[in-house]
Amino acid sequence: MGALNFFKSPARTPARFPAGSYTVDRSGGMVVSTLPGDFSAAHMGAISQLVLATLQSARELGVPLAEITVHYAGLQIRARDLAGGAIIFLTPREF
Amino acid sequence: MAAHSAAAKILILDDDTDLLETYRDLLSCLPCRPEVHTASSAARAFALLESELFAMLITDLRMPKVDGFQVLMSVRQKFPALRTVVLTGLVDEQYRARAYAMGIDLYTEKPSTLGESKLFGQCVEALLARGAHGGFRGVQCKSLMDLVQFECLSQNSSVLRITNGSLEAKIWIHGGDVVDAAVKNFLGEGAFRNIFAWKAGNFEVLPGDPSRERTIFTSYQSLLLDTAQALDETIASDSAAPDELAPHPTSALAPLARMDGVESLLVVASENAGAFESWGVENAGRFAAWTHKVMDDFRMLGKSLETGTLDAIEGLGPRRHIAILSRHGKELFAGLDRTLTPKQVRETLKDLDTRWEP
Repeated sequence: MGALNFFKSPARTPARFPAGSYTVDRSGGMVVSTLPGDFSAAHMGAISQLVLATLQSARELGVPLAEITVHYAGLQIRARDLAGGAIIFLTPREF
Repeated sequence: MAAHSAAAKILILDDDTDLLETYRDLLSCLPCRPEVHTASSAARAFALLESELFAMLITDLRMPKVDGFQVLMSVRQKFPALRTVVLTGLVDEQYRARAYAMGIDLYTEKPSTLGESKLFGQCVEALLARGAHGGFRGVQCKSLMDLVQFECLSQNSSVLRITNGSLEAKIWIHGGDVVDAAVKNFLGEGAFRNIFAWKAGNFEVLPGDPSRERTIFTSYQSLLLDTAQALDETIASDSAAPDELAPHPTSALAPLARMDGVESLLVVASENAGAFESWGVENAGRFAAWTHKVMDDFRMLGKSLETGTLDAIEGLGPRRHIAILSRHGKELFAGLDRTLTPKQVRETLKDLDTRWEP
């Protein structure tokens, strides 16, 4: 069994996503959050940065968006434009 | 009558959806039983025109974003054989003259009584019947040959300006003689014969230009006879050749664009923003680049967060809603009618996902 275990990939714990929301201002600064404190601030920053950039680029394209929803297999990100900032809802989905 | 009744399709463009339903009901009852389609935006109208062969477009003039004149201008370029009718509430001679100058077949006010509705229906019926026989606009059902003959017999001095999509040609007539012709790189008799190969188009008679240098010395009778013979030979030997004026071939995206609420579509390769196919999208290159970048960025984000595959993005906006799907190395962008509710947007996204075959 030991030999077989040698060839097995190291066990990975699937990422778990919290449910909740947070608000960022137009520069991406955190305003308020209902997400658990152990959820990575870096992850929140990465999400909000991309959401704000997407809303901005859509405006520049002439298709302003008030809300976007991104559907991943394991997570749904819903973001509403708030005068240049955004409120972002995270909803985990079952793989 | 039967010749056109089987294929007559009418597209009505108006931003007032209630009126669209009224006109649809009115025209569907015409004796020729046309197939009536409606569009509440120019983008949707062009998407339909590119996917199906229509006999007639009926458009309003006053619409948000793209007005009726802009629509007519594009239609003249892209679909020169399409009959066009302006149906508007704008009672203005300037608008009327401008619309007729653009080669429309009929300018009429929106009917407000039963009698006016009947009259409008009869006009449409008559235009559809004429449409089945082709001809140049301006003098309906007359061939270009008839026009030249008329000008020459009348010993007129005029310039016939003929347009066919993006092509433009001119025939100079002076004192009843054809003195010159020009189209593309052709001049003189070569140009004259070239113009007569066109099967339809728009024309206008401009004032004569006596300063035009004469390059054609053959009599107009001989010219017309030679041209007619050449045309007969061409038709006989080349009857199966594709029609230059035929509408765009049916796009592979057409079945998706016929879905309610879908106004425009674009498919872009995940690996290459420059490889895209669009349908009803203005600035398709920019939209392709944007779609490609957005999907790429969110895919990267998903990878770093370990969220699993990126399935779709939907967006709700005041001008239009959007939906983006990803499958088999391709992204599908759809512009959706802004009047759709969030629930309808989600349903449309699911429908697109089901029907899209990249």
